[in-house]
Amino acid sequence: MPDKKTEQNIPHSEPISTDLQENLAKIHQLFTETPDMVTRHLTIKQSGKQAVLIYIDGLNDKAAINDNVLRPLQQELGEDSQEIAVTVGHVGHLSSWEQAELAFFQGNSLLFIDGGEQAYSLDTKGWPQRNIEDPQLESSLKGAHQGFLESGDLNIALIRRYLPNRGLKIKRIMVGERGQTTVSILYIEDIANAKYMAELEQRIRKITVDAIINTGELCEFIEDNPFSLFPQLITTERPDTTASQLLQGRCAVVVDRSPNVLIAPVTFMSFFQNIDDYSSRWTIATFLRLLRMFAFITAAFLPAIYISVVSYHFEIIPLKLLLTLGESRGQVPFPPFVEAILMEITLELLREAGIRLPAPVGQTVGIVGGIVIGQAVVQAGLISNVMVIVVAFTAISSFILPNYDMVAAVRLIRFILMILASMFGFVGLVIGFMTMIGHIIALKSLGTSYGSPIAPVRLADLKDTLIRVPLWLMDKRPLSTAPKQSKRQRQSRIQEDTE
Amino acid sequence: MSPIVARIGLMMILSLFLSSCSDQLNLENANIPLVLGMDLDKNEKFHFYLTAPVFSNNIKKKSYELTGTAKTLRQSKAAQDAQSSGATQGRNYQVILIGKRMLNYEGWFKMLEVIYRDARNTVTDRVIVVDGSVPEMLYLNPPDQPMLPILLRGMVDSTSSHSETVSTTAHELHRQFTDLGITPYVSQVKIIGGKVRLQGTALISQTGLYKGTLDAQETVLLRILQKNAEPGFSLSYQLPQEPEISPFATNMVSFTAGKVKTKIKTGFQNNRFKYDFKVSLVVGLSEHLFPFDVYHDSKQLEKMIEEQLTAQFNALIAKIQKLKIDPIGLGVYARAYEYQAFKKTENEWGEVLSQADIHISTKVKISAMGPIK
Repeated sequence: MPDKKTEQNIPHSEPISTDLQENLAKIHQLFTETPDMVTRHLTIKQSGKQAVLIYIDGLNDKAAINDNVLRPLQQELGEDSQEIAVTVGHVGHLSSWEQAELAFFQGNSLLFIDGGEQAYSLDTKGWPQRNIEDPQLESSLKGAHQGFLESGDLNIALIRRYLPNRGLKIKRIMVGERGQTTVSILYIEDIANAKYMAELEQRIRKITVDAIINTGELCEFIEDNPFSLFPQLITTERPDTTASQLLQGRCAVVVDRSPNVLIAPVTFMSFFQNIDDYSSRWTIATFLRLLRMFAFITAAFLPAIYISVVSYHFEIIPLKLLLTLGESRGQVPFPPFVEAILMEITLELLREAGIRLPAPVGQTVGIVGGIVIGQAVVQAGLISNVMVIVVAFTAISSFILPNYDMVAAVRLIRFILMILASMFGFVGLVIGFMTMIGHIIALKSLGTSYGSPIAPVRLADLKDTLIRVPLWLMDKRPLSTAPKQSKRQRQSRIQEDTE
Repeated sequence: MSPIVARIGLMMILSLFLSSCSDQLNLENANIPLVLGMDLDKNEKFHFYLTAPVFSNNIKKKSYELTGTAKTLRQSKAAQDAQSSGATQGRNYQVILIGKRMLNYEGWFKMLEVIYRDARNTVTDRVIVVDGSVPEMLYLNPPDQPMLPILLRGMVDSTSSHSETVSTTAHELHRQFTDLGITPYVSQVKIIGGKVRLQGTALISQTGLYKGTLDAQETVLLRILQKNAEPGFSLSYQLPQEPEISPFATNMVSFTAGKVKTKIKTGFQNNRFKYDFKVSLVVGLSEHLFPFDVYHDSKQLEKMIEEQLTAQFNALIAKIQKLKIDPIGLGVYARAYEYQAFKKTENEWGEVLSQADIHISTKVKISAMGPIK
């Protein structure tokens, strides 16, 4: 690796020459086979000097170049001044070819002036950009309908709209040897614990790869336990969620070109929270939280419980259910485990197919799958009715969970538990359950306890986990983030007791 | 992961395999008898009977029966497996039927040993005495009634919930047999006119001999004395003071009990046990067919009912004392309050109780009379 780096850097770490012809030659040497490069020769009217403007067609806003660069340079009259007479927002000074190359590919246009000791990078960025849309995975009924875009700067702007405060600090790190991705760590200086911030920064700085394409990749490089099934960091597509997490004392990582933002450190319980929880009434929010926990348990355990009951412990089935279950099972040629695996795999196939296909065809898959799962397999006598109910219930339960990464974890856990149940019955299930609990407790997220506030017990934090108490009672920030400043609010409700 | 943790983890995983999947038995491969019947035939030979459901849509008859002779229940397992497609499991018995003929011999209870010894077997199954032959009941299968196990279990459970019979589980029966302060009692059924009919409660002596039967109303009284009559049972009385215009029994009064309170005072005097029962009932009238102004003269009606009730209680006590059994569990009270005296006589408790001096006083309060005059 190191030799590759040197090989790449030596030829253009040299300074930019004062002679325009020399610079032009160097440009042609550096950027060969770059047909999308535009080179414009011009004479600066102010000083009468020759100059060259280069930019990449497509990464630049042509109107900005015409209005803010070419027109001032070619029409400006008056005194000879040190500054060039362009009207773009951000003008950088380049002294080496290395800086020039980076600025060039980031979408700036470069201006070389004959006789100048340095070149200028002009902020005329303007690449194809989609509009701000409702987030796809994390939809919200009551929250804002703005999701992150594929531009780091815009994403930070979206977050800043929620936190117009100088306490919001941003730390920029460049990651990647070839891709040079801008990774920004956001935190609120007087809330977030500096220890976690430093840890996060150190982990990101350690990454040496070609490029980071997405936030998910970054996640994998900095996660505490990469072999665990559970996600230990949250990626979100919502600016309001990010702002709320920042206020709780967490850090956010914005990766340029990725519409997801990473939140760290988090706990297991964070994956069951949703931004809508805070804008619905606290009773319904509590109910939904409990429902999600229940859904998590069912999605992971229901098929396994079915297998172990039918293969080992049918004495616990009530009499009338036993008769129906027996009748339903009687015609099925497979043992319960095979039956369950077949159905679960069918379900996973349908789910994947639905995601990959375009929306109109995706619907057809849903209908075909619904018929296959619902009716045909039962009538053909391949699968029992009860198994269909179990699979359907499991699927619905897993759709309730608000975080996609957690759903993915549950899917795999389900299969492991099914195998355990088919081999050891309830004994295996209990061992599986205990191992899972032990694993969750042992996990860390950025060095903090993943199982908090249940293990270690932090009673104050329970206010915003399984239950959500009214907002005005949540006067402290969560202890799990060890915030510098724990007080979140003073008496927010007016107490009229003095009258 | 430190090496120690890894080693412990590995050992845990490996020890899981020790338990292995040897006891795996899929539901459809098991033969799950829901009724266990035991009876003696004409030659006093032990027979077992089982009914198991058939799990198939194509077969019309939903259950099949296994029968055979054997020396013991456990020994009969081979004979059971030989008759069925799956492995027979005693894990879902709903009811255990015992032929009345068996109750003529002491020691039949020992035949149930395997049910208690093999922890896989259920002990929540209801024990029922069949007045008649067990196979006849087993093969009855009337087309207009649910399967025998569902029918019997439902019959016993619902009837015992309003105290008209007892719901003795195998587990409870074991207690009744081993506790010297009480004698066993189980519900009793009979086939009458091609239909299964619940008769009431069979009373059994400490050694297992059949002693007598209590009908529904007597069972209610028994359960009041046992202090386990749930509110909601109903009693009917014919009041001799009121006119009867035949063919209708117009001198009947029925009531539904609300709050029941039984107080028992235990004593031992002059070598005799002495029991003082105070039963108080708060009742709602459900019907009275004779003209009576309950609103103004409720005291009088209460008194008339009290007399009837006391008389019936006394008759029940007399019956129990005559049979020399103790289904009420008065021995438990004797053991609690007069331990020395009970300890000396515990092995012939039925005999001792029959000499006891038992006095019952009742108090009835009418709290509701319904919306009609």
